[in-house]
Amino acid sequence: MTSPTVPVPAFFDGPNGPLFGIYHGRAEAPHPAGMILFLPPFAEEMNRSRRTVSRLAQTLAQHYDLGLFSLDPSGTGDSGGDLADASWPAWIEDGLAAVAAIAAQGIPLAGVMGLRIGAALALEIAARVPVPRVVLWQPVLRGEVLLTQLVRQKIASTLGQSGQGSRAPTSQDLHAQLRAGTPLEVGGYILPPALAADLALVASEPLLEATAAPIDWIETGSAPPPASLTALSARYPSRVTLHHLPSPAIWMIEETPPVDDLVRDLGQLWARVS
Amino acid sequence: MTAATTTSVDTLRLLITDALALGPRGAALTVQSPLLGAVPELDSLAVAILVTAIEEHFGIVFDDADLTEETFATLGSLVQRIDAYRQP
Repeated sequence: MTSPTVPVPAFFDGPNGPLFGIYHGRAEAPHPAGMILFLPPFAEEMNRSRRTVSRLAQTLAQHYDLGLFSLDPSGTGDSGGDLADASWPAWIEDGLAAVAAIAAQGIPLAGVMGLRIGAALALEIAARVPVPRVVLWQPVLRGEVLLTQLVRQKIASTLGQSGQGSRAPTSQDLHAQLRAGTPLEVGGYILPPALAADLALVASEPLLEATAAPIDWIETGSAPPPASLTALSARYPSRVTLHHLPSPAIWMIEETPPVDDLVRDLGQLWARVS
Repeated sequence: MTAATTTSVDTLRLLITDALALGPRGAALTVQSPLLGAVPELDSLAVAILVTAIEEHFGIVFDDADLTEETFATLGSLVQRIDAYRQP
């Protein structure tokens, strides 16, 4: 028997302006027994992953009485602020403000979870405040990987346009443009040069050692995780548990594919008492 | 076709099918199958993420200068690009 859930939107004051987040709670008792702070991926990845994250939130509420508080960092989603003013340090502050807001509601923090670049943000938060658990979902821990991806996305968007092969911007052009302080439009989002510069410096792997919390690292590709990854979790045996959960890249696929297995597995992961 | 190329076709087909959740459509891809413009899931975000997945899987570094219509025209052209990187 499953109880219906309701979305619970929440606006609260953050250090960089008003912040918005949403979780799901049981209809008859929306205050969950514990709350997971979720840090989403960036831009179009955030957009495409929303539905699956919502489905996950509903499952966690229904079956485990856990809320999944999905935070929109400043300048993204429904939070206040302009993306043009966003910065990595500001987003860390926003995450910490969300932890405080959850505590102010008297709801125990079950942990933090981040998807893609959100995983790097989750580690930043776990490095600064005690959290019981960290779950990294297909983590991107190096910001330059995301930056490279955004520039490649821009180049890819120019392909197939009438005979412009030789006029397409080069990768060097676009990276130089950002470094020179010119924003870059990618897939409908305006990537600010300051944020791009911040991302280029994000390298969160050392933060795996900066938290006492157990870390669950989830890889979703169907191919076995590369040797570099198994080696990484071997470097932190008492901290990082690598999970291979083959599942669709829901941050990339526009049409939300069936994700029942993934949602079930993630739910069970969070329900486990460490 | 060299053995390396044959391995690349099967591997790439699986990689693309998995990444884009193509199901049976993915399994049916051949070297002649057109990709860019023909597979609707392969939009610019998917291309960018797929390139990273290819890099990680094959242990190569993709030169962004090779992000061209020619490279992504067909499964075969993408395999050729990957194999060119894999050859020392």
